[in-house]
Amino acid sequence: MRKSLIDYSEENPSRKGLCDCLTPRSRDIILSPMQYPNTIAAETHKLLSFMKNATEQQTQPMCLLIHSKRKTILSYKFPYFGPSKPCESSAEKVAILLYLLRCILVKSKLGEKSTIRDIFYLNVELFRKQQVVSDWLRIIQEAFELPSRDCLQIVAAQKGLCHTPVALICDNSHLNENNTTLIPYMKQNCDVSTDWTKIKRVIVLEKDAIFNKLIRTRKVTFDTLVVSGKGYPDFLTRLFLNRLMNSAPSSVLFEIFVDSDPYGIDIATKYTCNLDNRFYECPRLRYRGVFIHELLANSVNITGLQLLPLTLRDAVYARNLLKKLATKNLENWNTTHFTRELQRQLFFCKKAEMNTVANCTFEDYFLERKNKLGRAGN
Amino acid sequence: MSKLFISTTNCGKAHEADIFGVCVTNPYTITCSGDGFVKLWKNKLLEGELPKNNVLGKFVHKSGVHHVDAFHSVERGGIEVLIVACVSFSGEIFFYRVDPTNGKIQDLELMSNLDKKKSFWCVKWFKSEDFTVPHKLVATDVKGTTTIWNFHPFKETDEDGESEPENTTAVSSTDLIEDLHLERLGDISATESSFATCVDISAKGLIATGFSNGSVVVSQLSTLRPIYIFEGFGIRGTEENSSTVRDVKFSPLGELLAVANDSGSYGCVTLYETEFGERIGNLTVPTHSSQSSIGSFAHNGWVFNVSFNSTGEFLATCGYDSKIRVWDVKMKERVSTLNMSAGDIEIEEDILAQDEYGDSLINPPVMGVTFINKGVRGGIGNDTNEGLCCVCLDRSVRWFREAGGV
Repeated sequence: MRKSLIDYSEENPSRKGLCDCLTPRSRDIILSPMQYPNTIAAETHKLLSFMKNATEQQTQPMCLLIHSKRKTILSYKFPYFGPSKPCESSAEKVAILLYLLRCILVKSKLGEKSTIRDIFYLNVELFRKQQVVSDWLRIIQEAFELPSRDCLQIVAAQKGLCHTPVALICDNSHLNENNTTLIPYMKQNCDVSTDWTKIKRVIVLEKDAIFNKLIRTRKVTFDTLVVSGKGYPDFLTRLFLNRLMNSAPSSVLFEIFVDSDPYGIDIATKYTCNLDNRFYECPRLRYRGVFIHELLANSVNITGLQLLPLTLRDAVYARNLLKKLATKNLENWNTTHFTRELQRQLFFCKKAEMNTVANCTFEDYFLERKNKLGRAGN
Repeated sequence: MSKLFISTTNCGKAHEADIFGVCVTNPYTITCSGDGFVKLWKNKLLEGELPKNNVLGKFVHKSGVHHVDAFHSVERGGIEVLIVACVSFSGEIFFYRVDPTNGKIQDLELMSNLDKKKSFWCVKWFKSEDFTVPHKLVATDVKGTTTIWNFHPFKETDEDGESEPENTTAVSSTDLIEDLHLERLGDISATESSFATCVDISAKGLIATGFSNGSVVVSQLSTLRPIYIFEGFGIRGTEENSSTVRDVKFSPLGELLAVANDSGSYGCVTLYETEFGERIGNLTVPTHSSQSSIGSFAHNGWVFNVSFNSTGEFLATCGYDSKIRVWDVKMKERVSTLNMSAGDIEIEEDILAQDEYGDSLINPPVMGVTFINKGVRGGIGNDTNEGLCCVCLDRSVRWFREAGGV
């Protein structure tokens, strides 16, 4: 006959003793740093088999310990045990982690790459949001201490677009001239080679609608490499710009055009500075608008005033961004241009979209700006 | 009747970034800017002295400063109090006490910790001429709330009236203990959450708050309840048609309220009578524009600031069209127009004809204007004539005085 609670309490007169005796023996499985990225397949295999052993053969609960970047240790128990109140999502988190580790194992064995989106759609019920996948991949990456998330064979879907006037070779990928392509996958330390004499400018656009319009304007594209990250940029687009910046001679101008709203400015700062990883920033990018004052100056047109009211949310966002720009961390970057535009947005209580400049013809705006900047000695 | 204003002095590149606000006290003209500085320009300049060499600068906050107002008073016992209050883009109000005799600027902590947590936008002092009525400070926040404080320069003595008469009369300067502090009176909440862009407080105990959605709420100070809501300025219609209220100002005696608001890309100024809340009329210029039938405008650009002179007879307005206009309030007629041009700046190297992006600032928008009382500025004619001071987007400060009578 199995022991009942009364037997246990007789054997252990103290409360602590009873607790200890009733706590099952568990296995600690630690996701530890990897020495070489190429051992991922072997390591994950080992981890998964440990877990399998624990649950299937030893019927022991396991305790997953994950080292995070901030030197804290995340711990998940499965199946849940112990005196504290069970954490609701613990099982779910373990499931997500195991699922992702298995994906990583399969992909590394096959040497294939898949996108975060693919992984997400393999099991929408489990992940619920795509963000969950990327968050957990980051946790795994940090636990393994891998230089980049891409080592896990799961990469972000390509998002950024690029249109180049001359052929470009970027880490084994060829980008044809006068062609629009998705920004190719590349290594962090790769080089971009091209005939730089034929490129005068690299411009970054917030909106792909403007991008699509602009690349059809020969006057602009003949000497300009156009990039768009479609809103908030992904890491690949930022890396691409960083690589371009490193390869390009200093005569090539890097410029960015965004909406004159707090989010536009935020996007521009995302491109220009990154405190965590210097590979994802491009400090050579110059902020070139659009500016609220231009739309104001150009208000006498058929369409009337093309400014939108700044909503409460925008205003709070702008204030927080201004506070962020005022912090010491960003002292090394020249943020005065961003600050000026944000201040004006707040003071005027207005924001402007880049599609509305120069009577909705961005290409004219761009050419005019180019002339003006030339006069101002930029 | 037209008035003529002449430039007395000016200063280009007064700040490193856009100048958003200006106010005038007896000793100083005070400006605030996006570069995070508040600058105090000495008013009594001697012949040949340049404003740039007679300025006190105080760094406030890196996010920039957008509103500034100063309280200057000689209190009981001859104690001179000059406090500059300014709001940074991060939403904090900063207070500084300035000693006009030696130019020392000292930080002041006047806000309670609870108030400090709020995110403010506009700030205004109200100086009471009556010893029994305390001075006021009023501030708005982004969410549309207006907060009011009493300002006391001295430690509170027993004011219950129980004390013997000979005691009260004997309150001399030695009994007054200086203790600058604020006493919170309360909030006026917004009817709908909208950016409260501007505020003013009248001698008759009214508070007017202007909102970015185009409405103005006039509340009673004694009850903190709204009594009038003025709405429907300018052209309504699409979202793009701005009707943001940019400034509200009571006349010195509190009889009138002037409201500056957008009408699309134009600027309107409307006058209200405060006793019954009736609209008296708009200030308009005759226009040959085809749009004249739609509305009547005071400026061909947004009006950022309005200022009554000390008698309340005249109103100065400034706009994005780089003009200052002075209006006869009674006749609702324009008596003077001043055109700003970057080339006006006396020192040539301080002229900012274009910004860093190559955009022209030849006709710089005027961001702030204020009347200057007689005798505030030094120099010929300033004792007998009133003046004007304005700040423009070419980062300049300009001073004018009315011509004649010298």
